[in-house]
Amino acid sequence: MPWAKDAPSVASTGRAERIEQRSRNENWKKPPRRIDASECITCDTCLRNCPPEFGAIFDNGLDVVIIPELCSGCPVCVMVCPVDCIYVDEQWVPTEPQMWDHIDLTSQC
Amino acid sequence: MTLPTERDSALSRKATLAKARLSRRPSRLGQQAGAAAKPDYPVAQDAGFPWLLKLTWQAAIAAHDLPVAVDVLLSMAGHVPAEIGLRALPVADECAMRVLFGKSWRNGGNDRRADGQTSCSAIGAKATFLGELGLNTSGRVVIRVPSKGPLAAEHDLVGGVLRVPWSADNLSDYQVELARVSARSRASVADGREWLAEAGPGGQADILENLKEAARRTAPFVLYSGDRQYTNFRDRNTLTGKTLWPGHPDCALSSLATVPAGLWSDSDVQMVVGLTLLVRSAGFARIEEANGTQITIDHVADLLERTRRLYNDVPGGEPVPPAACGRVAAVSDLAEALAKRRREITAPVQLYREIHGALMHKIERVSAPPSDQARRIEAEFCARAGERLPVSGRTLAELSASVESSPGWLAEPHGEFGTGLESLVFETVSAATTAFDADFAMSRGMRSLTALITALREQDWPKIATWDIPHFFCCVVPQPQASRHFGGSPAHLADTAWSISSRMQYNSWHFLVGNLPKAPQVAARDYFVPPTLPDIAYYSDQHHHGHIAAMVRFTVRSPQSVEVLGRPFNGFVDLRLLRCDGLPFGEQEMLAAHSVSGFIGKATSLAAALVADGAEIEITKFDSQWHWAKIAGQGGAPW
Repeated sequence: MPWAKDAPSVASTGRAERIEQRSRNENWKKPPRRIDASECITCDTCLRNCPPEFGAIFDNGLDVVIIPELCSGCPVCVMVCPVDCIYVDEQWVPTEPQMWDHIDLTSQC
Repeated sequence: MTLPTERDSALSRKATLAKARLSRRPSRLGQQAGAAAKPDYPVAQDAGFPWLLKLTWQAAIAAHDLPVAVDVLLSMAGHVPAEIGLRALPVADECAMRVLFGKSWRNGGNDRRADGQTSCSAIGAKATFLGELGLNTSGRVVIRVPSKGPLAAEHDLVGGVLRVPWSADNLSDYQVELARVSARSRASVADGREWLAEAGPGGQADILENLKEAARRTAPFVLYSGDRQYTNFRDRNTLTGKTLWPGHPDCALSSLATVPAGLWSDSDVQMVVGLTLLVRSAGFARIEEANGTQITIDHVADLLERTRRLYNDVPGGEPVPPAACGRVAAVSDLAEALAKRRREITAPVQLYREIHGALMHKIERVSAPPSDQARRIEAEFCARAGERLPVSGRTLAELSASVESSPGWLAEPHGEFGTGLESLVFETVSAATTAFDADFAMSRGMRSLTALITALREQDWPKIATWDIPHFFCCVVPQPQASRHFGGSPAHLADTAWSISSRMQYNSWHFLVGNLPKAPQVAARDYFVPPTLPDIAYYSDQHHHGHIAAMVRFTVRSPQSVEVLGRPFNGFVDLRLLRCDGLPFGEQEMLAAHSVSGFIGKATSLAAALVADGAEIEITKFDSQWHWAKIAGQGGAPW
C-alpha cells in the first residue's frame, strides 16, 4: 500500500485494544471519517488502502463503512477514493453491537 | 492521469502527495479531497428497492380484488416476471397460493386445480379462517396459513396485510395439497441426504469448498430454502462474499464444514444439493438464475428442465433427454448433460442473460439471429466510425478486417489522442451512444498493455494482483441531453460519468486476475470469474447505491475476450449501454452491441500484439479531468 507510511504513526497493537474496549483512542485529535453511501461506488479502494494498524473499513452488505472507533481520521482513504465521497464525521455515533460482533473476529486473525 | 498506484518518477514525493490529496470528482477538481462539508447530490433514504417495495404494496392495496393484488405483489407491480415470485414461496405458502388463487410454478405454470378454479374461492362465501397476505422487505410474498400466527410477528413487512378469507373447501383442499407437497419435499430432502452421504465426508468437504468459491467469485445471491434466506447481498449476510470472508462463522457453508452432514438442517441440505446441481449445469454463474427463488431440488430440477428445452430448440447436435426421475442423481446427470450441450451450442448461437434487477434474477436465453434492426444499427455505427477512424467497411466484421489488415496506426498518435487504440475506443463509444439512443455508453480496459505484457512475460502474477483501479480506464460518453436526468446540470452529468467510469475500473480490476493462474497472491485476492455472455437488464436501479445515483435502469453489457501473448483474457474489455428511463434495450440491440464490443476486443488484441512486438501503448485519457472537459467544460459535448 503506497500511502500507508504517510499515515500517523500508531502502534498496530492498539487496534486489538480498541476493538476489545469498543472505544476510540482519546489521543486522536482528528474526528473520524465517514463514507456517504449515496455517492459511494463500492469499489473498496478505501478498504484495501486503510492502514492495517487501523483496519477501520468494512464491507457491510451493500455498503462500505468506516468504524469511527477504529478510524484515526488519517487522510489515506480520502486520497485514494476516486469519487471523493468520504467526509469528516464530527457527529459520529457509536458502532452497533452486531457490527462489533463481526469486527471482533478480525482482531483474532 | 488519475492517482498513480506507483509513484510518478517525474514528480517529487512532495508533489506526488500534493496531487494525491486533490479531489478527483470532476466538479471538485483543484479542491482538496475530503474537504467538502457535505455530499453534492443527496439521494432519498428510500430510493431504489425500498421505494419499489412501497410502490408495490400501495398498488396491491389499491387493487380492486385479491387476485389482482396477488398479481401485483408477485410481479412487484410489473417490474419482474411473476413466476419468480411464485418460485420464491416455501411449501405451505405455495400450497395456499395454488388453492386460493390457482397459481403455481409447477408444470410450466399450468398446474391448475382439476375443477379449473382460479380465484379466491372464499370471496362471497362464508370465511372459515381469515388468513393474511403480505410483502416482506426482500420482495417475497408471504401468506398466513392456518398453522401460522400473524405475519407481522414473523416477517419484516413492507406495509400491513391484506385479509384473505378461506372457505371450508379451501381449508380442505389446502390440507390435501399440503400433505402431497410436504411428502414430496420430505422425500426430496431424504434423497438429498442420501446423495450427500454417498459422497462421504471428503466429497462433502469438496462440495462445500466449491460452493464457497462460487459464492466468493460471482455476483451476489439471494436464495430461499423454506423461510430461511441465504444471501451474500443485502440484509444480514449468511453466505461468504464481500461481507463475510471464507471461514466466517456466519457463513452457512463455512459453518457446515465441521459439522457431520447428519446434523445439517433440511434447509441446509436443500441449499447445498441445489447449488451443487446448478453449478454442475453451467458453472458458478448458473446460481444467479435461481436468485429470488427457493433452492429446493424440485425448483432446481424445474430450472434445468426449462434449460433443457431451451438448448434442445437449437438445431443440430444430440438432444438432451429429460431427467429419468426427480431424484438427485438423475437431476445431476441432467445437469452434466446440459453443461456438455451448452458448450456445443455456444458457437452456433448467441447465448445471453436477461436480468431482472429488482430481484437480481437472471434467465439464460438463446437469441434469434441478427435481423434488420441489428443490421441497421450496425450500418449507422460503421458509417460514423468510417468517418472518424482510418477504417472502412459496411459491417463490423469488415471494420475489424480493415483494422487487422493494417493495425500499425493503433500504436501511433491519432486525433487528440496519444494512440489510435485510445481514439478507436472513444469514437466507438461515442458512436454507440448515438446509434443505440443511449443516455450513456462506455467501454473499459487496461491503461498499460505494455506493463501487462512485461508482467506476463515474467509470469509476475503477484505484481498484476497488486495493480489497483487507476491501472484501468473506462471511457464514458453521455448524450448531452442526458443531463435532464441530473437536474439539467452538466457538472452533475460529468460527476455521474466519472462515478460510472471509476466503478468500471473496479470491474476491470475485479475480472483481470480471474484469468491468471491461481498463485497464492491471486487466490487470496478479491476477484470475480470474468464474464463471457452479454446481458440485457431491466430495472437495475434498485439496489447498488451507484446504480441508484446514476439511474442505471435499462442496460446492455457486452464483455469481450482479448488475446494477450496467446492467453485469452475473458471480460478484458466491454461495451455497456445505459438508458436512465424510457424503453429497455431489446435482443437485436444487444446483438448489435455485442458486435460493436467485438470490434473493440479485436482492436485491443491487435494492439496487444503490437506491444508484444515492441510498440508502446498507454491509455492516458479518460481520467476525471478528461470527463470534465468533455462533458462540462468549454467546448465540451456534443461530441
